Amino acid sequence: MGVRGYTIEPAFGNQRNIWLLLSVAVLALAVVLAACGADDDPPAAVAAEASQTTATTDDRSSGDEDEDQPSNEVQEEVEEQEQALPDFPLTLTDDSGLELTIPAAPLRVVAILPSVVDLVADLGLADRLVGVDDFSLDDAPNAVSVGGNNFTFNIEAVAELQPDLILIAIGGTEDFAQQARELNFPVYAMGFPDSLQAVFQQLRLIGRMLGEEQRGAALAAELEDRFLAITQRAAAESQSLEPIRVYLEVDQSTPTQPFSIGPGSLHQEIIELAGGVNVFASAQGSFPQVNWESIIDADPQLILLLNSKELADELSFNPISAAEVAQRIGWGEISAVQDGLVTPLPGDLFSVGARLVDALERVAEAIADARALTAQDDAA
Amino acid sequence: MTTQLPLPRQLPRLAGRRLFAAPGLRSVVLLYGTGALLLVLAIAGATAVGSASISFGDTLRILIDSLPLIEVDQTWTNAEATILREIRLPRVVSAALVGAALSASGVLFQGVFRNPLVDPFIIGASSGAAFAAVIGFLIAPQAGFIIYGFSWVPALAFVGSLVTVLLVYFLARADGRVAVTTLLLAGVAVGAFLTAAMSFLMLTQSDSQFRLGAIFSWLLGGVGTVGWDQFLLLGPFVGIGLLVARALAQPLNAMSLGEEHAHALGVSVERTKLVLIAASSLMTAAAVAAAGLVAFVGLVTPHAVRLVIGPDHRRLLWAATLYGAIFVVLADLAARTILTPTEIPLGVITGIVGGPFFLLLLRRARGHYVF
Repeated sequence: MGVRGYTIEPAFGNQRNIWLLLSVAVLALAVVLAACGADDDPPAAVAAEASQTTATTDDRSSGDEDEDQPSNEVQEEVEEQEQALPDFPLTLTDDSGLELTIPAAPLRVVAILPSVVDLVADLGLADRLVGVDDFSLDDAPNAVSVGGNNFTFNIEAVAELQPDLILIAIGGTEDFAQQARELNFPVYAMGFPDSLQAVFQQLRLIGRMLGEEQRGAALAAELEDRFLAITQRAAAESQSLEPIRVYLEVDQSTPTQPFSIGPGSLHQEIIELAGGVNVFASAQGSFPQVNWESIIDADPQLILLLNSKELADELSFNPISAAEVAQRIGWGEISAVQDGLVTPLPGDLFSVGARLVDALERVAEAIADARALTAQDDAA
Repeated sequence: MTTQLPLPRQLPRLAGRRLFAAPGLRSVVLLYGTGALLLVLAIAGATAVGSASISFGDTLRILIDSLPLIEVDQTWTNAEATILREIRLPRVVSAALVGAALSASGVLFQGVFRNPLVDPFIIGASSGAAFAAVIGFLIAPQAGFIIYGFSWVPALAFVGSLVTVLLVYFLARADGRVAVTTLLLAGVAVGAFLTAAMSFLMLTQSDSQFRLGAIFSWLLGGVGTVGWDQFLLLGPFVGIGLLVARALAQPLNAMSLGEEHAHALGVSVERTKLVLIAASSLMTAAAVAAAGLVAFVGLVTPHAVRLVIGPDHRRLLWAATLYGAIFVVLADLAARTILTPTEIPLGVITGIVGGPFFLLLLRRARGHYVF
């Protein structure tokens, strides 16, 4: 994976450094392998972390070999800031294992797919985006479209923009990324973050790539504080209380077989961190299409609607209201419906970015409501 | 030019209603009796199994309790009763309806076209329904349009299916006649056009992976019925279609000898063709509205049944109806239980199970298959 980058850098001629580099490479490989063993698909967090370690090693002649522990990350950032070495040119290995060099702080950035564009916008750097995909135009005031609506991107439009960095979300974009690399643009292909921690890492990384390292670190740290406040409270509650059963409905294009969420989705991670349990935690795929029977049978205590009439915006299509959900055939038997706990949430709440911490807070509030009602029911 | 085509020697007269030897009473009882029994068992079995685990005893008690004038002491929860009565049973029965409709219209289409490769979707029923359904998924107005349990997608699919078949029929019509070859080719051409238009809509109008996911799973078929409204509305179409088809089974037998022969036997070929296509298209449209595009059932069930009982349409129609219903009830059972709670598209199951089963039958017939 990210190991290829280590052997190419010729700056370190002497024997000691070669051994050092080798040992760091082995260590990074071990981290990646351990992560692969723990989880079937390697989390993007680890990949991002590994690539950061790479870059760090490239920049410095002495490496701290314990850097792979998460608790050292903050310290690592501080160390980097203390160093007077120039940040650029910056050589990195991206999440697809390919190396890139960013010669100077990029001012003309092309970002493709909302999961990347939103992170740049969260950092307050959207004005550097000169080209984005069709879905992200609202988030980037200075940018023109480079395609995306029919899952193809226009390499000519990108070449015309002459970007000094291209950020691409992995997933159906591989061919385009390759075309851009052949034109010698620096391309960073970014894995889809599969956890909140991975999102924080990506914020740091993008900050660093854009020459705004402190800004990225500060935002990530702020989000981490809010994240910890909620998750620690939820963890404390879960010592004594059962988790609240949550059903989250993403889309009801086929009303009788709605899409919910399953393992591998950020939604499920957030529900669990907030003290709930996804009723479809054992389903196949991140966004399973489920039937009403299994929903009624699972008897959720809290229903969250992502495509609601209450919070519809111009992107909503055929939304449904909480009242309509309650009137579905057979749904009157569900605890959440009986308790009036059908809660609309904004449709874009779970999109990748700083908003995910808002999502965590909103879900935690809803779960707190459900807990209060459950306690009342038990008392009565 | 009008040389009299030689008639097969033992061709009985149609007036005597003896085109094919009448089946013996015993074999009829055996065929239909077994089929009906299997269908009841399949429906009962499929109703007892689902992602909610309800014991077989409770299933029976709930069903018996649902009958008028019978009270059973409640040993089940209200949620279990709701799941059985309002969700599972309507779905299982709708699956039976879909299987019956597709198999029966498969028999009729194959008979009318005298072509073993034909299925109910051949003259535009599927592409028209798919195009209209995609409009329902992507473009239909925001209002939560629901009428008699129908949202936009099934309603538009039903209309789109019928309108397209009608269009193809009149495109293929010349001098008051519709040649089956022209009809087939017109169907293929219109189908290609609509499929391309549908793909274009899907690529340009969809802004959400979920909407695309919903479209794909609709295109692969799946019984999405909840409650009884849809079944009660679509059932009559299938019932009427079946009765009309049965009334014309004997003329259809005559047409299987060739349209000239059928004409010589006194069959009004063009009118029979029109009525049969209308009846089977109604049944197909009803099936499409209830379950999307369930592939393979309408193609293979008629062949499988024909391999066993021969080509007489009078028997073939009812047998295909029964066994098609059984096939789809069981396939739907698999679709909703294999990966529960995730739904597998029904067409995936019918293809994976039906294909090898049909090949097995074909091998066992050892080339003696009479179409």
